[in-house]
Amino acid sequence: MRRFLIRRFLFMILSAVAATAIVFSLSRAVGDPLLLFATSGYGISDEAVAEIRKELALDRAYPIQYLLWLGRVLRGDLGETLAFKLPVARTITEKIPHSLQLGTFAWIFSGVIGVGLGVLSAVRRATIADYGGRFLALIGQSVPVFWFAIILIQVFAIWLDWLPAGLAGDSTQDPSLWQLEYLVLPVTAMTLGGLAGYLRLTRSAMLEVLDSEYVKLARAKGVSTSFVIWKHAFRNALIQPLTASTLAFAGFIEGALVVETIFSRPGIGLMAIEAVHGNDFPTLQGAVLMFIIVYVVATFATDLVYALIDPRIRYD
Amino acid sequence: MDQTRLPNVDPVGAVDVAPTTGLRAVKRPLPSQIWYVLRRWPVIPIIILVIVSFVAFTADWISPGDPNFQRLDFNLLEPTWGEAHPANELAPNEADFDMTTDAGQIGYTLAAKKGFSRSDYILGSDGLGRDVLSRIIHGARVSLKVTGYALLSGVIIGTAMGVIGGYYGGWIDEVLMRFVDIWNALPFLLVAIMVGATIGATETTVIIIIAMIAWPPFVRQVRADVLTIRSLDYISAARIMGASNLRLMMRHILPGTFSTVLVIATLRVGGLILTESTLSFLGVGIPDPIPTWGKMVDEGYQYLINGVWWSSFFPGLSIFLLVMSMNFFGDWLRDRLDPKLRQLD
Repeated sequence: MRRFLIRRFLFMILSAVAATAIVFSLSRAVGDPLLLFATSGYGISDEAVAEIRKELALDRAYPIQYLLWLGRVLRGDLGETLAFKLPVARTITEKIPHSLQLGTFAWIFSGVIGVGLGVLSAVRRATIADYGGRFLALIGQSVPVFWFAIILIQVFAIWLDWLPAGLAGDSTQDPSLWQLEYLVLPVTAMTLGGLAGYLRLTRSAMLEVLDSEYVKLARAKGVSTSFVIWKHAFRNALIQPLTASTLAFAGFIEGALVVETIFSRPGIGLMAIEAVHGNDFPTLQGAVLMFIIVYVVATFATDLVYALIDPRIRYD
Repeated sequence: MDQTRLPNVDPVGAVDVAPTTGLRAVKRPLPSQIWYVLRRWPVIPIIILVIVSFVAFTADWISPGDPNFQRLDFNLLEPTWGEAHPANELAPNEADFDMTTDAGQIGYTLAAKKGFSRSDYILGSDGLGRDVLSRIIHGARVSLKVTGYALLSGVIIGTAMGVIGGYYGGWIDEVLMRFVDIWNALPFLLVAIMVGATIGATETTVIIIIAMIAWPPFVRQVRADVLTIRSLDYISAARIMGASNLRLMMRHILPGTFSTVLVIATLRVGGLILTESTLSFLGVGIPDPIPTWGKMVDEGYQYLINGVWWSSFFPGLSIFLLVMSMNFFGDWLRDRLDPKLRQLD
């Protein structure tokens, strides 16, 4: 098992490097990043452009540029933002708590609600609870998160005026992150989409386990229904939602792109969108790197969770 | 009643069993019958899909107005729901004016500025006074076109990689599968935004980006199918008869994966439509002036604070209904064609 994990760990690093390389070549393939902010002829002399080009190492060959960038990243240096000349690494560490907070809340809520409803749906199969649960899953899977968020704002922030519609908190008050009323709407918006996956997974896993021989045996020898459901079936059915939850977390962090944009939450997603609109490519590269790291770590965590909770898995 | 329930000793020769067994056809109440049909067949999703496709193909003819025609006098106008609006009465008729003279034309233009015809602004107008309904109708076309092309490329690439990986196995398979793993670690939304921001999105780049998201799910499932098919006897028989690798893959293996591909495609297409609209919403999708649903939501929600809910609500509702129909249809198709895929998501 240790060999398996070491191999997966090495693969995680390889895929992070490969993914950054793909993104890097994509970003260079689609155009010269210098065109975004320094085109000669608009009051900038050719010499100044050449100087910026040299400063950002954009005059070197692409592979060299990539290696230089990688080398700096490994030393913890993500460059400076173009607009304010602030270290990108610091900007990211300032913003990421907001995204992590949002993602974690949405992750926990959608997991708990989704698994709970999935079990209910499977146990009460073909009743109104089951149809209701499946319908909710269908809605969650199909609703565009930005539209749902807008409806939430319209209803709860404008018509009812119960909750704030945006930002992460009132800056005149305690500046801590824990101004929970600012989290309610964004988390709700993300949860509906998230719980759909859990619900479907749990339901199908649960149905399969409930149909298995050992559950039938347990029932036949007179074990109580709730014991069968929670001790025999649920614990086995939980394997799939648990392993899926790591990638779901990465999905929530990426989902922050949209949700933070709508709710003007100053997290890493809004930072990325603003970097795009401000043509700030070092910040954008930093954000892409963040998202890639979240994804590869989540993939590795999936293997780890599998290895930990499912003794049946074989390691070749 | 009791007599009819006596045991029927010779059912074999009986022509009409019902009177002797006492079984009667139970007439179900109508709601129950409707529920039965709805549960068994995806009626509502198919109706929605047919409507959307019809609207997309005939957008130029059935749309009540020009989707890009701006009238600032009527911006943020509430939905008229097709009912007479006081301003409707002002809509001029060309016949009432002498269009050959300048004065007539000016009079007509002035009158036209004060009113609009009854078919306009059924679902209200947006911030620039464009007709929301017309834009939704034209947006359907773009959604279907972009996701259609992207899905098609995804199917071709994904199936090809799955067949090749599954058929050859060994290091080719390993490399392809690891490539899929790495690909899945890319933050596509951000990559798409980057591409869109750097070169400016066009229809083609949006299609390419969505195709980049579309193909990976096909590889794994098709590969699994191919692994099963490859070991079947008829493949060995074909090989013994001298069929080449290419022929084996194209003629003998590929057709066996069709139902899987079809099911995954219908299950995926909803997600792709969502992605397309998300890109449009974030401002890096299909460029102006082509109307798309995601862009309409983006333009509309700026006015929420003014109490204007319709210009973002209806386009979003269209996305939602279309995606939901696709997903529902996909689920149904999966249960019909490929029950073993039930564990897919």
